[in-house]
Order: sequence, then C-alpha cells, then structure tokens
Amino acid sequence: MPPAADAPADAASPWLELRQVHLRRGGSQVFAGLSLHLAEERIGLIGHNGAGKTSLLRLLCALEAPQGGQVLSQGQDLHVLPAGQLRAQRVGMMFQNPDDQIIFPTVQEELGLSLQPQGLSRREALARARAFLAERGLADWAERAVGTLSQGQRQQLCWLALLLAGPRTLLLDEPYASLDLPGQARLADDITACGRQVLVSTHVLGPVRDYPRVIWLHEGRVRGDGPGREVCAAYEAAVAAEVAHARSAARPELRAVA
Amino acid sequence: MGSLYSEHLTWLHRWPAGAKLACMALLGTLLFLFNELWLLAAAGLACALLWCSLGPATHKVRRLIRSVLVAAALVAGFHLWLGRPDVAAVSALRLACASTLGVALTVTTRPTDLLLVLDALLAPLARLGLRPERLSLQLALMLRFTEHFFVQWQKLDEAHRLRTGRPGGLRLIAPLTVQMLQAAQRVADALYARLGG
Repeated sequence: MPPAADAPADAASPWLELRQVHLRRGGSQVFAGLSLHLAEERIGLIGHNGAGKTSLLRLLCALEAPQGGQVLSQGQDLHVLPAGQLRAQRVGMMFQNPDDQIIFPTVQEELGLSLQPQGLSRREALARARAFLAERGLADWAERAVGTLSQGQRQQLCWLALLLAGPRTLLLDEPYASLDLPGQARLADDITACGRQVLVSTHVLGPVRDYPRVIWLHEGRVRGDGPGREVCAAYEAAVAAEVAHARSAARPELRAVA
Repeated sequence: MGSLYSEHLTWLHRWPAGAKLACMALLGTLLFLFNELWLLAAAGLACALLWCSLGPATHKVRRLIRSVLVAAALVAGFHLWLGRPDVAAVSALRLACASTLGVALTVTTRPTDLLLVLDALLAPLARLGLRPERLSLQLALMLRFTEHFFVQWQKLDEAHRLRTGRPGGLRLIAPLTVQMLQAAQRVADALYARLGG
C-alpha cells in the first residue's frame, strides 16, 4: 500500500526510489519495470546516448510521469506530492544547456527565482541572492548581465541557482558536456564540496570514477551497478569491444569499395 | 537577455525608479495635453539638455534615438506635404520628446528596479487572488523570448546563407516556429523543475 501524499516523509526510506517503473515515449518503451534504490550521497549515471539517462532524471524530478510503477521520495510518491515548495525542496535539476533554464537578464534576478517557491518577496529574494554570492566571493556577479557570462560561467550560475534553491537531491544532466577542462575540474570540486545527494548523468567518466556508486544504463535496463571504478572500467571495456567489432565489420565493405 | 541599462553612472541614476517612472508618465501625458508650439519647443530644448546631461550613458541607444528622429522627420515631412507645418512641428517634437524621456528612463534604471516598482503597483491585485510575482515572471519571459526569437532567426539565416548562398527570408518561418516551440517546452520544463511544478 503506497503512502498517501500528505503522509510524513519516512526518514528510513531511501531518498529516491523507483518501483517497477514503466515508461513509454511515442512508440518506444524506455523503461519496462525498472527498480532502483538511490540512497548514496553521490551516484553517477553512465551509458550510451538513448540509454535512458535523461528519462530517468526527468522521472526523478517529476517532469515525466511513469505509465506504471512509482517514483518515491522518502517513501512518498513524487507525482502525488503537491506542486510548489514541497516538491522543489525534494529534488532539483540542472539541465544540459544553461540557456534553457536561465530566464532573467541579471545574475541576482536569476538566483532570486530559485527562492520564489519559498514565498519570499522579490526584494528579500534579491537580498538573499546577493548575500549568497558574497559568501562565495562572487559579490561582483550580482548585477552582471547573464549575456556577458561565458558558457562555463552560465553553467556555474545554474549550479548556484540550484544550490540556493536547496533541494535535498540535485540531478545534473550532462553537466560536463559543454565545459572546458578547468570548468570540468571546478564543477567536480563544487560537487565534492556540496553537502547534498547528487546524481550526475555523464559521458565524461573521470569525475564519477571515484563515486561510491555508478549505474550503467543500457537500453533502459541496468547493465552495471556498483563502485564507480568497477562500473566505469566495465563500461569502457564494453565500448572498446563494440568499437573493435564495428571496425572489423566495416573493413570488408571498405575493401569492396576500394 | 540584453538590456539598454548603462553602467556609466549619471545624476539620473541616483533618482529612485518609482520617481523617474512617475515623472515620465506625467511629462509624457503633458506632452499630449498641450498643442502650443512654443511649449513643445521648450520641451524639446529641455529634452535635448537632458540627453546631453547623460553623456556617455546614451552611447548604447544612439542608433535607437537616431531612428526615432528619422521617423519624426518622416512624420513631419508627411504633414508638411499636406500643408500643415504647425502639425508637422508639434507631432515631430512630441515623438522626439516622448522617446527621449523613455530612453532616459531606460538607460538610467535597472530592469530589476523597474520590476520592483511594478511589483509594488501590482501588489493590491494579490487581494483579488492574482499573483503579482507570476505577472512579473511572465514579463521577464516575454522579454527573454523576444530576444531569443531574433537570435534564432539570425542563426537560421546564417545557416541558410552558408548552405545555399542566399538569405532564408520567409522560408525560415516554419523551422523557426518549430525551434521556438521546442525552446518554449525546454524553458517550461526548467521552470517546472525549479519552481516545483
């Protein structure tokens, strides 16, 4: 019997859990009975494009509703929780492209939006945003126009907005995809220093290799699940084998063309 | 996401946004209440002085005000052609003065401060069950998408030029519409995730 939406959160339950989730999009089945307990502080999510990584993150922040099964946050169905502050404080998500989530023209206004679910007035939200930036030595960012920030800085702004919103779990969808190497290192450090549960979907394996848990998704199913080092190594070996197979299969055709 | 606000501080930057908005509304209304040419000429002179007093802060909007002056000259030319030199002078002066006042407000006031004034003015609507912060969010979204629209159009046009050697023109409307709808969906998803639905 699933708990009701207004039942108190069960502290003993894992922060996030998928129970027998079925998700179908268009004509294709994305997940068929996927079950996962997500309790570790740091979890990496790896796999090929189309494996279901983004769909899983969208399910976990209630952007996508499963056709079957449940997505639970501390024992409560995330899709039955009332919209607004309660849900925003459980799970937050950083999208792959910063430009899809930045709305306001200046840094402080953009950060202020993160405080809206808490019912703060605009003036209070802006003051909190400025104080938040000052704590991080970024006081001069407050008035900066978002358009003048570099790609890495816009990504950092999205990360700061997510931290300021303060959800218990942060979902990051391909956060390293458009960052240069110093930017990747800074984000990895920021994630390490963050005292919240973080789920990172990524093709850049370096930052998740030392995570206590990495889940390897393949065609909507879990193909590997365990310590980051082992799962990343298994994934890399599988990719190397796939590439070698594809190259050897392509060679006779190349010979035929020649 | 661009703004015409100038970081080059002037005397008008120190005025509160509400006072500037009220002055602009009052003076703008007065411009349309009086038809006396000497009064409007005096207003024109005052606006010219206001513009000069803002110095380099007007740098970003020089092209904008130049097109307004061209438009005012065209309006004046039309009235002159109709044989109404008095109407020509009055219309051109009104247009130029109102635009100068608007520009002075825009370059010396942060969008945030204007939204704060808007929030204060809309606050009584909260008693009627409306949510003023949602209205200002909608305003921010409108401004953001207006700019996004032009940026996307330009990108598509550049791609079309590169691949065909010709500007895209009206052929770009369909792909632009699709891209704007997709962008709207992604922004809506982000807002849903950030505001908790």
